[in-house]
Amino acid sequence: MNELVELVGLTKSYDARNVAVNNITLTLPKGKIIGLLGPNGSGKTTLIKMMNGLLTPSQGSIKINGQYVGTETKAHVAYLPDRTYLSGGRKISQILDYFCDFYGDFSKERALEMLHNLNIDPSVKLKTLSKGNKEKVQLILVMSRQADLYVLDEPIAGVDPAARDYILRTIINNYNPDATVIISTHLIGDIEQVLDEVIFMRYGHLVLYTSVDNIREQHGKSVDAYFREVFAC
Amino acid sequence: MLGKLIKNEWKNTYRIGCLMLIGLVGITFLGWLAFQSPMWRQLSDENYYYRSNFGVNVLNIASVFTLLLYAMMLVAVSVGIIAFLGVRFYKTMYTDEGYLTHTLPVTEGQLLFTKTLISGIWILLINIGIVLSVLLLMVFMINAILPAGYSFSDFWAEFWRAYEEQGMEEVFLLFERELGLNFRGYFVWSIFSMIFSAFTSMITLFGAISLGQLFTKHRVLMAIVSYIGVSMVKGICSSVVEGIVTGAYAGSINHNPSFLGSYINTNMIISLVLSIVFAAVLYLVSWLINTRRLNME
Repeated sequence: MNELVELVGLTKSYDARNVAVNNITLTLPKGKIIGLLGPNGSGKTTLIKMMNGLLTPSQGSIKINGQYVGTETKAHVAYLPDRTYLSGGRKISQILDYFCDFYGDFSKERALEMLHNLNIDPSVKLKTLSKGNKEKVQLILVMSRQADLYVLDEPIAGVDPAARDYILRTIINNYNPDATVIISTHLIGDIEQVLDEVIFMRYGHLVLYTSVDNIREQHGKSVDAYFREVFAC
Repeated sequence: MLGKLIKNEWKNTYRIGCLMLIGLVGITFLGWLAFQSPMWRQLSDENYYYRSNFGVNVLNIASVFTLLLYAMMLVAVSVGIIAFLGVRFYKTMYTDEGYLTHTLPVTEGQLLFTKTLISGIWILLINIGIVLSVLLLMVFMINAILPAGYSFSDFWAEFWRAYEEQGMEEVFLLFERELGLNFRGYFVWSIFSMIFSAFTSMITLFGAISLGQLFTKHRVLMAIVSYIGVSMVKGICSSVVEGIVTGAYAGSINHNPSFLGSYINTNMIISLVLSIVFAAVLYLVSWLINTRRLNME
């Protein structure tokens, strides 16, 4: 059994006119890096939040490793949200201990090594770091886990190109090879080279789910170019 | 995991909690300071005023203001700890920090239990601190009022001697017998109530904050409205039930005063049952919202 994520008829509506995710049925395999792509407001973040149990679906179901979203799946999903979810008043070392406490798959040694490579002192409080370094610390925390599924929501948005390279390198070098990585972004050009598969979303609908090679072979275009064609205004 | 949650919740609240307890020590010192003015001794020794060489008027005014400040700061600590725990619950459950809280491999029930337990313990500790502070203030006051040469321990010894000599215990027992009262029972009951209400007050607050999350906009405002609404409903229920009980007992107490104790007991039990019912409902509401209607936006 190679399926990792199973979405069946997944829908999230805030009211009758505002359907953020509309009847998505999709199965994602293990061991892939998948780009979740779409313009702003296409439902990417809503889909990700439902996969992490932060939003309750209006209809449909989500299974990860054969289990409905809950305590068991949360132990095996490493989630990087599109915001700072750590308390700024805590020291980085305290946050590392917190992750050690709750995630059995968290490697403190790996996290310390990555922090050392970035010259980030674990004894400082998170709020003393720059926005970019805060994002890097969050990414380090997430990528220091040996998870089955990594869900990264806009990991490269709002950081400079050098930081983007570092973030992508961190993802590629640290994820569990048997795991699947879902990266949500609209900065396709920057991450295209690391993707195996892509999901296109628009207005909450699933537009396309295919491999990157397939796009290149069938359409003779890069994912970025094909995305621009599909979502042309 | 529950143990780890409790440990981390304690670690994240103990600084503010301890700061407030230390603050209570400082506030109690203010209470002591307030009773250092000579005007208090004047209450038991009218010549004392004229014998003192201090700038009495200024000291008297300062004493009254210090007492006022003492009272205001006690209220501030009491409200402050509730506000801190309420804001912390809101921040860690329903704002950006909630993204971490709700993706931990723990159940929503464990999260809620931990928050209620630790918050309840802090409210209880602060309440005990406030009670101790007020008791100490009474000691300071008695010390200040006593004539020169008398200490609080003299007063206490005198009080107990008078209590025994005048047969006050007999009087209390007579009250208990004739009116059906139980003073020792009420003392135990009030300690139990203090412990119990520390937790129910937090459950009510957390329930109201969770109810606010059911709205798509102005969630904080709706949480405050929910809190006011819940308090009003609870107040109305208490008034209605107490009214019924009072009506039922009014005639009996007129004919036989020993029913007074039974009336007080019934009221206390009903008040407890109402508190349990409201706390249980609001705890369930918080749990249901977190398990079935969680909408982190």
